[in-house]
Amino acid sequence: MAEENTADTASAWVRINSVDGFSYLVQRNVALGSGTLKGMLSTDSNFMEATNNTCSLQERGAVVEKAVEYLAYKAQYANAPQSVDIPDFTERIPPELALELLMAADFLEM
Amino acid sequence: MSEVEDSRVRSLSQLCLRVISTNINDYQSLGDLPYRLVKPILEKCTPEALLQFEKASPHLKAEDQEIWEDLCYKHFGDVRRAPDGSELAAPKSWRKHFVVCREQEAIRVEVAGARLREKYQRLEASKRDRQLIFTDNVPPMKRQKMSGGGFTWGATKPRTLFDKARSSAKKIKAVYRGPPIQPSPASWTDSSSSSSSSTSSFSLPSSLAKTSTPYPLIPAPKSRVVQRPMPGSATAHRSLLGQLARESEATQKRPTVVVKTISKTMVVGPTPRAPPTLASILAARARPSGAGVDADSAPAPAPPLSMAVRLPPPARAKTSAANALFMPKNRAYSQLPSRART
Repeated sequence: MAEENTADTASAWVRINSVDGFSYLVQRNVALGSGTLKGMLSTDSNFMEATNNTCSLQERGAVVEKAVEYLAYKAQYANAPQSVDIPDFTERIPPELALELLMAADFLEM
Repeated sequence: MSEVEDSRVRSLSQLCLRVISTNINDYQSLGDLPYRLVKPILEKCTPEALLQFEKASPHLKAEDQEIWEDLCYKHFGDVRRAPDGSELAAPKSWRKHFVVCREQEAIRVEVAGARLREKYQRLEASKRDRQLIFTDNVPPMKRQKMSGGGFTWGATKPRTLFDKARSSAKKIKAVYRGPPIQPSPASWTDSSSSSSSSTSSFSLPSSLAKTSTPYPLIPAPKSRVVQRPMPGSATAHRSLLGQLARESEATQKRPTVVVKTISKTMVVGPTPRAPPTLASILAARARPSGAGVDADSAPAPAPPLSMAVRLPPPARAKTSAANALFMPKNRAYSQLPSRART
């Protein structure tokens, strides 16, 4: 079974749930790009999220999806060398989503 | 896992703010977003948009005073300064202050616009008045003003000096219409020795001769013409005539010239045949110059002398040939050789 293995750090997966029932699986290191998620998933605390490797966000599925997308974008290009051109993520943000995404981004500290 | 550094990747918040600002015109509300999050957006939007966001999200009103203050300063200059230079207290609501200022501005603009429009319309109207319009219709006749009496309506016909001379000559003529003076035959011969009462008739030409002439037609010695003894009775007349002659000569040299010519030729002692010949010569020479003379003028002393140049129509009175030279009604002024010299 593809259960997240908390012992594996790098390749472990975490689940992020939205309010409307959607679930997104991201790698742990990618999820840690968000400060909030990092705190939630930290094994130091006794949060349930850390125990279950599951975070539930109070956002719509579309918003969560875009947030996870950003997390992946960030994980890929954060340490990219200067030679690589980083694409502009604003192109990938639809204006109608921007307000909620801003809210989520503020919450997730990312 | 190590903390990822945002070296070249911007935060999602920043990216979202950028997206919203770019499309701010498409937004009608900012929803439930807290003020601190949307502050950068509100600072950049127009006053109208700000008002709308406030309406949609009333919780923003409480905290956006600073934004309104900035807007007031940006749009209306130093709003805290009263007209007398002192500093006004900060208004309780910058938003209200902004709205009030904007209304005042609108009124000022409207007034200025109305003034400018009116000036432009007046200018256009005046231009239109001067414009030429091509039309087939005859413009309406102006109502004739009622003339008060026998007076002329407008300015009298401009009287030329010739007209003035003629009218004054008419008046003078009345003076001379007294008892006719018998012309003396001697006066027609050598002038230097003549001393007749009829010199009055020749006083005119002599006095005229005294005035300078630019072009003597016949080179007769002037002294002859000039030295005419004047009887006392004729002196007064002569002065008048001289004045008249000078006056008319100043304006029109033609009558004077013609007269002088006549007098000179007469003095030289022409043959009986001379007068007609002289008349023809004078007529030929002076006709172009004498063309301006009105042939129908009354027999005043000076003008009629000039008119003597013109040949009268042969079908006139039996004395037409005699009158060729001088056509005065009064016998006293007649220069006819048949009459005067006999």
